[in-house]
Amino acid sequence: MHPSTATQLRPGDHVCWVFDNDNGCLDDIARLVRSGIEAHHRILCLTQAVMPVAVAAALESVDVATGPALDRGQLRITTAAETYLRHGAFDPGTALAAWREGIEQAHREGYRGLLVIADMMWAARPIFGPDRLARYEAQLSRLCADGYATAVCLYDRRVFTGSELHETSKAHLATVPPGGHATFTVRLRIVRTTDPVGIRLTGEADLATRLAVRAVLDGALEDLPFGEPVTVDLTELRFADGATATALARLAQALPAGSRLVGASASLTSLLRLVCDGMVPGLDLDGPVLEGAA
Amino acid sequence: MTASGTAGLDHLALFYRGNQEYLAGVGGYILEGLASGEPVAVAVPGPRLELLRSGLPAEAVQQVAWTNMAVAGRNPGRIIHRVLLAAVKRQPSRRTYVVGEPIWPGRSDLEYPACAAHEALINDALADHYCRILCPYDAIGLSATVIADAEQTHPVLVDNGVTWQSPEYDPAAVEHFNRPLPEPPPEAVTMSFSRIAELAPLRTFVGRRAAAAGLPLKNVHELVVAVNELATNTLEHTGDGGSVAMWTESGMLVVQVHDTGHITDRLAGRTLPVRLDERGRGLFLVNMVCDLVRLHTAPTGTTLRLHLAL
Repeated sequence: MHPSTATQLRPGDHVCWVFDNDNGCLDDIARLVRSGIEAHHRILCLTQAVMPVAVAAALESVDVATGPALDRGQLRITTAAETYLRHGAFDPGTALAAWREGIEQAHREGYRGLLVIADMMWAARPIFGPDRLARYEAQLSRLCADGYATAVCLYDRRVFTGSELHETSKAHLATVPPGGHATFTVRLRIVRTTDPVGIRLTGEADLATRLAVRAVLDGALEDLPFGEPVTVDLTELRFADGATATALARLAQALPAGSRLVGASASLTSLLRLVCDGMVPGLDLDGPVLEGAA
Repeated sequence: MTASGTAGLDHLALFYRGNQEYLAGVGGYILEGLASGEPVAVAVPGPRLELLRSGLPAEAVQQVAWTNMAVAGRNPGRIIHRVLLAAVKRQPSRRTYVVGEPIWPGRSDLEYPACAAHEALINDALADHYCRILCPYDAIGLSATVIADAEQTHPVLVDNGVTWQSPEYDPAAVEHFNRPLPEPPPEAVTMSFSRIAELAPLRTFVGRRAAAAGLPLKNVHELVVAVNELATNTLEHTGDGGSVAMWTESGMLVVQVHDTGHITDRLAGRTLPVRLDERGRGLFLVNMVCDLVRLHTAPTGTTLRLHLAL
């Protein structure tokens, strides 16, 4: 793994990490774990293809001091059978509840973040299905949008089909293809903010992150404090496609009184007007308004 | 007269020769609408707009909603949404009288098939709306082929005060204008794409080339959004990639997107879905920001050619 991937990840990121080589994958995990330990994050490794002891040994082999981290509970290495699949078949609701619990616990114990590295091998069982998997991953993006948890989902290209990866990658905020670490950049960040209460989008929102963005925006009213005016900060959103603009317009339509969309570029303002045909009540576009926009 | 019953759409072509017949035919239709107490909206090219405004009584002129079709309907792909549905939806319970003149002698050979396809699509797009749409055709300035096409795209014809059902009317006429496009010129720059991660580089490619061609910045942004929508559709719906070609031609920037898909819903992009869900807006956005969109679609593949004035 190129160091750039590990150094670029921030709390709130949710990465679809595609690999096609076991050794390379272990190496990737090791680097990520080391940076997590240094950043004082709780780290949870969920492994499937490889036994937990093998993961620990691999980490040791690249000079990650797993012993102390394991002893103090900062690092946990476990299997899908003990977590996701503890009750037999995978249930997205139970898994997401476990995520929330894990986030709260790490908070309570004083960690600055929660890093989860999950081998998604278990999801390759045909009983689960690509749509259901993508819906689960999109909800995970929504959980990460608090800006505390980082989720790295490892997908083995030898196990998942191209169309499965195509679908599930859209539910993440970034996708690393095999061997793509040298050129990896996080293209989009979407986080909920507390001051002001709202959501901030940074980067470029296109098909690559469509399901993740939809889940965070559609869930915003439920995830933000009830009834408070919401500020949707678009200042750093450099590109939004039609679907993103539509999701923003849909959110704007449902926001409490006094809410605002701020910082939209002239071109995004014009796109928002186009997708909703100027029909969305309460869409207060507090940004540069394009001359001659419809 | 009501051609198709008491509700729904009447779509009439009116053939005129000279200003007198125009005033008598179109002016008479406008006055008939006003006399019935119905809303009247007129979208015709600038000079025709002036002719009607100066030829009709002042109080009639005041009651009509006027639109310069040469501007609003420059891209015929947006007339249904921007002009026709906009007029009809102002008073949905009333039977709106619309005059729409999308085809005039100044339309280029490049524009014409898109204009004729638009005329054909009106029959489906507005079938459920209670309105009359009268489309004037300049029988002197337009070719015999254009007049013959109008007879296929309009269920009802009007000439010199006489109204009759068009014997040539073809509900599937839009297919006649679904014609293969000529190959891009050799100097066209191209980029192919097959993965989601290639959308961002594709946007950079299109934005740089468009700016270098002299397209104003505002239009560059719109074009980038438009091409991104088409490439997104390609990746979502074809399972294959596609290719983009760009060149300039007769004062226009042309961007062609080709893929292996087949657009079977010919009304795609002509109207805006009522619900704010993400699907079905790509082609609509393309139509809204381009000066002309030419389409050829077949089971073997689809070519969309976007034109923007430089």
